[in-house]
Amino acid sequence: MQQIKKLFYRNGKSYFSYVMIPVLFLVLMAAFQLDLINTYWQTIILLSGINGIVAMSLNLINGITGQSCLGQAGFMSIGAYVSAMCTKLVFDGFMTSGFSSYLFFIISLLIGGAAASLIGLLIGIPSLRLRGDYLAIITLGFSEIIRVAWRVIPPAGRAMGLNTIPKLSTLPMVFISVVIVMLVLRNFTNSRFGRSCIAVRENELAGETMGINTTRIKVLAFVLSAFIAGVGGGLYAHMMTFINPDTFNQIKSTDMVLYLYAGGVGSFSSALLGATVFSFLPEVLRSLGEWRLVIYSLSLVLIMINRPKGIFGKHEFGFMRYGEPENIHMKAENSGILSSLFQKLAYRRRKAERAPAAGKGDQ
Amino acid sequence: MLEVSHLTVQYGAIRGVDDISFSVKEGEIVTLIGANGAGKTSTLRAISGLNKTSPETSIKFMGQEISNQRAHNIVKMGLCHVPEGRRIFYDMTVSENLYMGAYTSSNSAQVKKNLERAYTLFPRLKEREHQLGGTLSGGEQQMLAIARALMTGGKMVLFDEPSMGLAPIIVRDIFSIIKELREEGVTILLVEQNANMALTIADRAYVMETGKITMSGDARDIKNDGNVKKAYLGA
Repeated sequence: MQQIKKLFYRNGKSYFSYVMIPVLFLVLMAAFQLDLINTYWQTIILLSGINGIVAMSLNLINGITGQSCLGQAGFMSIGAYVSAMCTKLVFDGFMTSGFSSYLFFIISLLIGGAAASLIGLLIGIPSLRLRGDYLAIITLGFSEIIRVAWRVIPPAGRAMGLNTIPKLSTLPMVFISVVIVMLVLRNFTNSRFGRSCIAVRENELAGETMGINTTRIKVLAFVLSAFIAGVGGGLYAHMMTFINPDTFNQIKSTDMVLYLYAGGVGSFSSALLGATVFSFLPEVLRSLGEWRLVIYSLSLVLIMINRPKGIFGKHEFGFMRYGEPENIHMKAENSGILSSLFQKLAYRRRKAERAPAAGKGDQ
Repeated sequence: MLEVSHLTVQYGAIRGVDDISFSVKEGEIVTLIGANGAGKTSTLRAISGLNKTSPETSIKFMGQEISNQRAHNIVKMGLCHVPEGRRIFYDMTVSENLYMGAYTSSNSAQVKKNLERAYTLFPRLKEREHQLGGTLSGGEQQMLAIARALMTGGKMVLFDEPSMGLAPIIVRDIFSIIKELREEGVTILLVEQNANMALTIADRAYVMETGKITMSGDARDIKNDGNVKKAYLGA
């Protein structure tokens, strides 16, 4: 693995992930096209990508800006309903060929995201002026309001929800969305705005004395996060082909928080990996029957005890890494379960290399 | 440079700062001393826009009224604040902390110049450039907080208890740096509990007691004043 990685070093930077992402895409694409994976697992793979998008959007609020949002499913549902209504009711007549249906699907996703970010703006402006846990309570309440609101809106199908949504969330759509979202979030975090988000997380008062308009920064991060969650919701609706208000209940919001914190809060790549692992885990454990949920919950408890920073820690992996290279202090702070495993293995290898030499010395 | 008149800060029914007026001229070090709870920090926070003030308050910075401005705009005008308890960004490296200080500046050449100046003032920070802020010692964190405030390129700095929780030898270092800054032409308003040190380097001083200014004048006179000696200097 290390030898392979070394092939992609240029100017002290590793381009490994730039190569691995297209390779992963081609492998998945081939597996999907040749039916090496059955439809059930295909759905799980797509679902983990979509969950990853929403978990990453949540990381922007909870991990980077240091606020707490517990209602991400609310934004998902706005994106899902608005984009589904667009493709089903508005653009239906235009979606004749393959190309035009994807074009209008992308437009619908963006409209869904924009609607979610508009609502995000409306609830963000009053609530983000406050400090502390108010935002958590407000977002919790908001996602419930949205859920109830869809029950009384006729075009949204009331409690029946929407069905026969065109199935447009294919592997390329989801995969490319994940990559685009990663790039957008990386560049945002690396920008002046992103750095001020981190400053708000670290110390809001100090941020203010540095000349940061902290309310504006928080609202900006919230709106961007809502947009991405809305796009994630849109993809979800067009994968499942039916949605109803209860699809996006409190459990969905909690799942997103779980993916983020079990993966590693503060890092987008950890959020994505966490979402992947914890979307797969319940399905992998399905053969265990009713013990499934016991083991699932137990594994969460064990992770939180042994790895309070999440399985993958605060690391950004591959091309998601930005800014200065990680130094020893950051490594100690950020280490996740994998990096500490690698460190342990490297330590054992060094010890094993040294042991025979030391043995010879004794004779 | 800074003209404060009728400054009142109200916390519910309690007046933390009660109708005080004072001024700081360009190039001066002015210190505000007083016991715990006298309203020193509230005064500083009110000046830099972090506390709400009562309507009769007027704060003029370089001739401009700033009492209704929000904190981030006041920083842009060139008035920067080194907050109490340092408040550095723990999870950022030293250099990232310093770049945060340059948040308002869009001129990268100027930012570079300010960064060099910060590193010449605090060579210790240059050594620790890539270390996380949270891993610095208390004295280094205070240096970082001061350096970060200077990165804003402000013409006037408000210091809130820079000696808090530091060893005496480091306190001396910090105060000599404050003096150095004055020689560079930075105006300073210093709030301190360590009255002895503050009065040694200051030009003028105000003594605060329960929200009011009870005494003002030349720092040397105040240092030799019998009542101040008895109350704050322990002699």
